[in-house]
Amino acid sequence: MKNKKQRQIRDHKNYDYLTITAKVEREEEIIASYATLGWEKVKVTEDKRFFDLDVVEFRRPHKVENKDRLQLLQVKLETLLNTYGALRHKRKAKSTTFGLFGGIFGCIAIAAGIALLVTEIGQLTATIAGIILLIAGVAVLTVVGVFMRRVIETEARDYSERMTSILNGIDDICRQANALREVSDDRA
Amino acid sequence: MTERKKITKKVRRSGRYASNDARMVRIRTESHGLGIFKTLIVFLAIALQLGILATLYFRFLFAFRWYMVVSLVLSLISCLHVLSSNRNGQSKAVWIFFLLVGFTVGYIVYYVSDVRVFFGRAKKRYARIFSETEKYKAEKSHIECDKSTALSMNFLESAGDFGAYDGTDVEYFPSGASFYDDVLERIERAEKFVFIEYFIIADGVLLNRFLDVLERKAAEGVDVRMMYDDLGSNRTLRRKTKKRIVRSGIKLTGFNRLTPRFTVAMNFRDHRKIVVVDGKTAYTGGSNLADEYINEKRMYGYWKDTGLRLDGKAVDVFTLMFLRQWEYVTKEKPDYEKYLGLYTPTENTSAVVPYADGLDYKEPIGKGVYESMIASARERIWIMTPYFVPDDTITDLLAEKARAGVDVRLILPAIADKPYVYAVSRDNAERLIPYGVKVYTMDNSFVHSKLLLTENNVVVGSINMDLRSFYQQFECAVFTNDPKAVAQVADDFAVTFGDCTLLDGSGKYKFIKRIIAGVLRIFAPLM
Repeated sequence: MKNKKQRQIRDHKNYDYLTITAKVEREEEIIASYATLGWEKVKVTEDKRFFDLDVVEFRRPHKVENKDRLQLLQVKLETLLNTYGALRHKRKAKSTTFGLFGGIFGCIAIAAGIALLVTEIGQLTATIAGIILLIAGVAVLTVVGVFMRRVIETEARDYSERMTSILNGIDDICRQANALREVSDDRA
Repeated sequence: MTERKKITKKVRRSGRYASNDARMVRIRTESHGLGIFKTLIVFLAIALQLGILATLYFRFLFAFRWYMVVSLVLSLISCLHVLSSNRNGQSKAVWIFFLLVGFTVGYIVYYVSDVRVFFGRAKKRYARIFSETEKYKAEKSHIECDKSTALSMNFLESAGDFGAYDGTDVEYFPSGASFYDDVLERIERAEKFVFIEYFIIADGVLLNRFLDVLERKAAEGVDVRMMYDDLGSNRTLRRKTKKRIVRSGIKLTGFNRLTPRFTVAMNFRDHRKIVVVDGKTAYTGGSNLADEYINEKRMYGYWKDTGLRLDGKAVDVFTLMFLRQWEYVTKEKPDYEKYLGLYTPTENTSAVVPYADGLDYKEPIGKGVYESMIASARERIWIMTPYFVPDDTITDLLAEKARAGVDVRLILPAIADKPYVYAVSRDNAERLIPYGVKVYTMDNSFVHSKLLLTENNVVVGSINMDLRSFYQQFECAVFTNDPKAVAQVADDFAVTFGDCTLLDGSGKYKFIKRIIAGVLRIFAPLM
């Protein structure tokens, strides 16, 4: 019923409408980015289910010069914004996986080695296996400890480079959109 | 209180959670879940019928073992029939594979799928309609043109009796949004009739804009008719909207209605996109009447589509095309004379050839036009298509032309709407790269345009470069050598190349992708 009412008050002949769900933490920048494409913010409401999302409604005059180009830029912008989000979500994935699996494997190996040594006293095979597992466990933990810092630094560097590239991409899109709209404004 | 604690308190009070979605932005588009129930009922009914048929058939088969030998012999005879037929090589290979592997049912399916069997009566009806309306065709123009244009025009004349017309202005639209703005402006000025034929007519913003104008026009006494494909529009056009349309005085009909009855004819759809206004202006192209085509609904990234407007003599071809289809579907004979000959010829001397394709014609005309254009091209062959599943004739021609130094380029979507078709399309396209064909994918986009451009000629229409469009669907398009249209399309290609990535044929999992595409190719005629 509410959607029906919303549809009824929308002037689809003269305006295009767009509704998005945006992450609250970056909402201002997102709205500003859409503004460069000609979208005017109409309303912001909280998402019913998620506290970190807001529902933003925009509108834009239906007849806009360079509309095709602006529509394509909008898709590119959305793709970059979501790539940014995905990258942030996974920014420590590599180091976390490396540390977690390495640590868990190392600890299991050490525990298994100790268990074998303690429970199978006198058994040569078990003793040798226990010692090997202990050494392997310690070795893995050492490697993880030694290389963890490097993995974290490399990951942070890659993340920073990719983020810079994405943010530059977003800026570039906004610049292009502004340029297209300035052209149309000048003509008007 | 820290920010985090404030949020936690807010969460506890509101019962809301943090979303697990990493995306910063999500487009909200309304989806109605229309027609799922109807589609399910139809699917279940057909599955039940097939299940019953299969059970009875296999009981018979196992009761009479000698019948296995008989069915193998009949399937082998069918294989010989396939080999001696006019089918393209790929279709022959698929049929023979199916006949031999599924020999117990192969020859039955082959027989039932024959156009003369399931479409015999319909063909006779179409033939009657065509012969009765032959006299209403506009007189063809005699046009002087270059050899490559003449070749394609001659083909259209001999294969489908489609004549060339001068006195027609052509305007190209490089997007669905600009196309439909023009269509709506033209409909606003309609005085006599508006004919609309689409594969997909979908509830949404665009249809509401159309209905606002069409309802007003119908109230003014304008004859408004809309025709949709019942499968294409099955899940997009609500019954409520259909009632609204009919109530407002607009005549509405659906092509080849979906019924819960197993029939091969269900596979054959009306894929045309036509708008005719007052017999003076006609539109066609790749766009259907739905929001994604104007990028007011996000489905597969940016939706790249195109369209064409004709003003002048050639418009009558589309009027006749629409009326014939209307007569076939509704079984009501319209007063053809009332709707034809109303055009105002322009000064343009270029050749404009609107044409149709479908089961009402003896041979695949859309495919033939593409082949003749590719064969006669000397400088460039630029293609934009959402699907690239043609037969060997076209792929071999493109490879030969590229080898001979012709600039052959193909633009496909970067985003797939049907992953299985996309896999085969990409594989087919990438196989041409070693021959010098440049294959592009349009970034962040779904390319829905159906364009073929050579140095002098262009085709714009509804005909995909795939076997479905060539053999199983009713289609339409315009062939023209109009310099303005050719230049506009060339400009659109030039701009689009800038938004594309040029493929080099390399990539991960190439071998696995090729295997998958090879298996999917068996079903290529259905794609």
